[in-house]
Amino acid sequence: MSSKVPQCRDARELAARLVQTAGTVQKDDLSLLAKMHGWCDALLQAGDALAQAGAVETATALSRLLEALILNEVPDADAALTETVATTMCLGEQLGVSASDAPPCPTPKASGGTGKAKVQPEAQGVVAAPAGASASAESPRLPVAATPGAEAPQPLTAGPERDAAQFAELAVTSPAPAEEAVIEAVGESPSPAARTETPYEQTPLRIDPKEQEFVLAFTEEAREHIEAIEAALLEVEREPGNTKRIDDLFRPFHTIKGMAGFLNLRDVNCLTHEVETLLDQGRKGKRTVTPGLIDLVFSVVDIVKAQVAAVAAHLAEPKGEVVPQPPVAQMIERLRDVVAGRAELSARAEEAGSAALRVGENLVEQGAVAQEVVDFALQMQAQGATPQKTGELLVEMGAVTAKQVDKAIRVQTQAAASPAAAPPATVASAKVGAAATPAAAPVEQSIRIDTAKLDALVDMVGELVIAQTLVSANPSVAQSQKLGKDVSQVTKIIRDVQETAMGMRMVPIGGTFQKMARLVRDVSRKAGKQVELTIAGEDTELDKNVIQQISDPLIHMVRNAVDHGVEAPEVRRAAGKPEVGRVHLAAFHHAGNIVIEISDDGKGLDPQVLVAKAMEKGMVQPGEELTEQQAFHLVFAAGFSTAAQVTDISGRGVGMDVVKRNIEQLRGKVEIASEKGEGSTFSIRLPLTLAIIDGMVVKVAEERFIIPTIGIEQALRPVPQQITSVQHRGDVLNVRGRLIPLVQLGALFRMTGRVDPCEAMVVIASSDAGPVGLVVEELIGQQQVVIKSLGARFEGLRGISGAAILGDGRVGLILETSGLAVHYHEMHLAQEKDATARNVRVTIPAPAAEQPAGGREETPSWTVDDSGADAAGSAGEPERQTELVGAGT
Amino acid sequence: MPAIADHPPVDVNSSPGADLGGKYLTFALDREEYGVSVLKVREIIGIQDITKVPQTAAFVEGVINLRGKVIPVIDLRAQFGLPRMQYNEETCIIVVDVGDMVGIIVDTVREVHNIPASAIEPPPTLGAEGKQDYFLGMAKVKDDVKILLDIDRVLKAEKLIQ
Repeated sequence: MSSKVPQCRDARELAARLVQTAGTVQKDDLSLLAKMHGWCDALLQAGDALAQAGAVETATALSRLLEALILNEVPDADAALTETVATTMCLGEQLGVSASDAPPCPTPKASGGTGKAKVQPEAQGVVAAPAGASASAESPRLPVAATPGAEAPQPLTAGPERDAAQFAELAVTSPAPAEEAVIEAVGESPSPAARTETPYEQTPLRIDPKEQEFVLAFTEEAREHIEAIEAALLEVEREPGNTKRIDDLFRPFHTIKGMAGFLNLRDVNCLTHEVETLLDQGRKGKRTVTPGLIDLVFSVVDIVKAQVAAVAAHLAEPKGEVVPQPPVAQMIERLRDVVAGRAELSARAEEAGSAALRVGENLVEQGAVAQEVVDFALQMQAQGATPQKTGELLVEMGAVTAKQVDKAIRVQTQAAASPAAAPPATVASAKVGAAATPAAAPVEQSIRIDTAKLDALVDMVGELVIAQTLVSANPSVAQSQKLGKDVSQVTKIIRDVQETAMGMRMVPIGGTFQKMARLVRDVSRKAGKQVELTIAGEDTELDKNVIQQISDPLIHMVRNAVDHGVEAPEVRRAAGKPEVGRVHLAAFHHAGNIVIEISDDGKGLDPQVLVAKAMEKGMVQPGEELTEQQAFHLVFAAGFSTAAQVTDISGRGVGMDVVKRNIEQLRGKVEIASEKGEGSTFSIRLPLTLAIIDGMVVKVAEERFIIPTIGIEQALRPVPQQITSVQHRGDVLNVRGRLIPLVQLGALFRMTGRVDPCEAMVVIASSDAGPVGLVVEELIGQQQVVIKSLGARFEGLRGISGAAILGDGRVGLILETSGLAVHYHEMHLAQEKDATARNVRVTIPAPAAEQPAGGREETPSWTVDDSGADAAGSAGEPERQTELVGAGT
Repeated sequence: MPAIADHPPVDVNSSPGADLGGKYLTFALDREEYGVSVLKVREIIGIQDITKVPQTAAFVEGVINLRGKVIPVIDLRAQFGLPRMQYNEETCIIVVDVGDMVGIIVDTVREVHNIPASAIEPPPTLGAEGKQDYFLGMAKVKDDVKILLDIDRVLKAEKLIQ
């Protein structure tokens, strides 16, 4: 939308967004902070308007503040946030937006101030909040005529009244405004002059095409939160004294507020903000939770619901540029009044509907729906946006249930039957029943399902496949051609069902990567760097839960890569690198894991600097020797990073302890590879909680194991010439000049002794330490399997990543090559020790005497001599030595 | 545990046996009869092919597929230090739910007894420390004594991984 408006307007709009967002932003809400930063930058680009307002410095300061906050480079985030909010407000004032262009929701700070100022209603005067009348979207709040008398609960002048101008508005938009509008007003009469607050002004809602996707996601999510709110509200109603219940209400409201603020849905944002303030009073015991309060909150929920439904409908099928909005100004005013103690909450609406004339009114009277929502529905009807009847429309908005509408209609028809009946023409919504049919319900793009149900489905389908295999194997199938055909048809269908079921939990990581693209853009621009982000493996599917939980750590790491990894253009030029830095994001399967890699071609990590820094902090004791990996992993230590560090070393450490913890929670691992001056690669390895892999089923002793196909290079039956026994390291297989260590699975798992590789099969698979050859008895075949966790009881198994149900229903264990290699190596070391011990006690067997020279006669030393693992030295007696080692078992 | 019968009766009201009454599934293991609360029992299945899991303690028989779930199976004889026995058609796997599901291999399953709290006495304080933590109490059913197991403890106590 910004392209059409003049620059000046543009700047104001940006400032308005900033001011508005500042009211809701949290110090750890990085995406929102980043968004604010983006707006701030854009504002700085719009130099002229800014200069005219003398706000350049403020904007620059704000940009810096936000930057510091985002990068966590501030000693006290709370203080920094307060300062940020203050600066934003200042900027808003300078650009004159806080009052007119975008009346802000009271910021936490501001509301504290104004709230206190309004404690005494008589000092401030009272403002009308006629719940019955509707404010139109465009009209500013008009002075309201007071009608003294009626139900004044406080020393306030109050009475049923309505706003003539608004009435007129309604008359234009509503098909039968007169009847529609006759609704008891609960509000109190005003003294508008005494109000200090800027009245809420509704602005037309347009949705930025670029944000459509987010807004859509918001509508889906908001529906869930609304459900949660409604459930929580009912709980509060049941137990008004329990403040914990109010806490439960808070969370969904807060989430909606945050998201709405982010997506520039001002109405929703402001409404929820006011409700939060109100609830906060309840939570802190400043306000008792009355049925009236609950009704009010329900009304707000209705409005939010209606707005969400309208947005969703607009996205599905836009009718014009502007999204229809339910009137909210009235409700916001009312909420503010209630919060400030200027208005009392009305008593609960009576259950029994009166013989009023309209469905909408009846519904309002039943307490089923807020007046605003009915008005909104009528307004939509009037605009010709929908041919539906009021009742239908309300049901579709999700504001009421068909049952409630039915009831309202019953009341209505009863009234019509009575002598003072309304003209038959007003009998609307006879077809409400139809509105409740699925066809009229809003179309859901996706639904959320309890993952336990999905797991159960996958398990059941697995059983189905096994049962089906048994049927197929039945000899009678082979006898009847017809039966055989039918069975194969069923088989095909079951395969499809299985595939679908298995894929349901999996989500490609592409979406998460896309978010990173935006982040890289923002961060690099801010840091004055040129960074190109490349992405690979977007289609790699991950468990939905894993994707959700990996998102935050990824944000941290990508930001670090841009901010601290990639150097400034000048530095890069001086180092002979291209000015544009590269950050690469990749996801792939590897050795039974899913790996997400974040690599940059920046300055890399310097282990020495890291160690020096850690020593300075007392995390490493002087004289302690660290491997390169250990040094790299220092960046994950809590408290390793401070603001000061960010400049002098590559400063990775911004929340990196959190990153590591998050990944460990997923039972994943982070690995770092870095070359000083060349760049670094952070690899996140995630185990497959629920994932499908292609596996090679192999047989070892009586058991079958699964080797993930992804890690398999080849399988072969070696010839004796290819096998060399390296002393105490086991056998090595020579494949076209490459020496590949062999892992005797049977011996490793203590199922068999060592088998001759030449009479077995060797599967060459990749591991962290390079390829290894797994010696197995035979290859059974390739199969897609669902990985099942072995559960907490088997945590700590080395070389086994999980289990899978094989075709015959038995369990096969899934091998993890890297773990196997490590485990095998350890076993050898242990055996060596064992052998050493034996050799001390026992007379040295004859073969040792035949050893080629090289100090080998001194027996106790050769067994522990690791470096003596040269092939030449042991080639003479390979078999015997292996046996010697094997004897130690 | 022949000493059980000689154990002096204790005031059941003051003992943890007070709220232990209920239905117990009894099973045989070596020469003793044991009971486990039916509330913990998910199902009973015959002995079947068990996939061995390496690197586990000796009493861990391995894992089985219970309708799509992979659950560990332990040999209760081995865990209690009793001599191992060849599995036969009487051998059963009792699948218990102790937060997660675990199969326990027993010699044979007997029946379900409704044991009133009054028939339950606290476990004897004999033998090795710790072991009796497994026992909820001793129940007298007719002339027999059944050892009631606290199956949560039995399965929690030891790590499966070596």
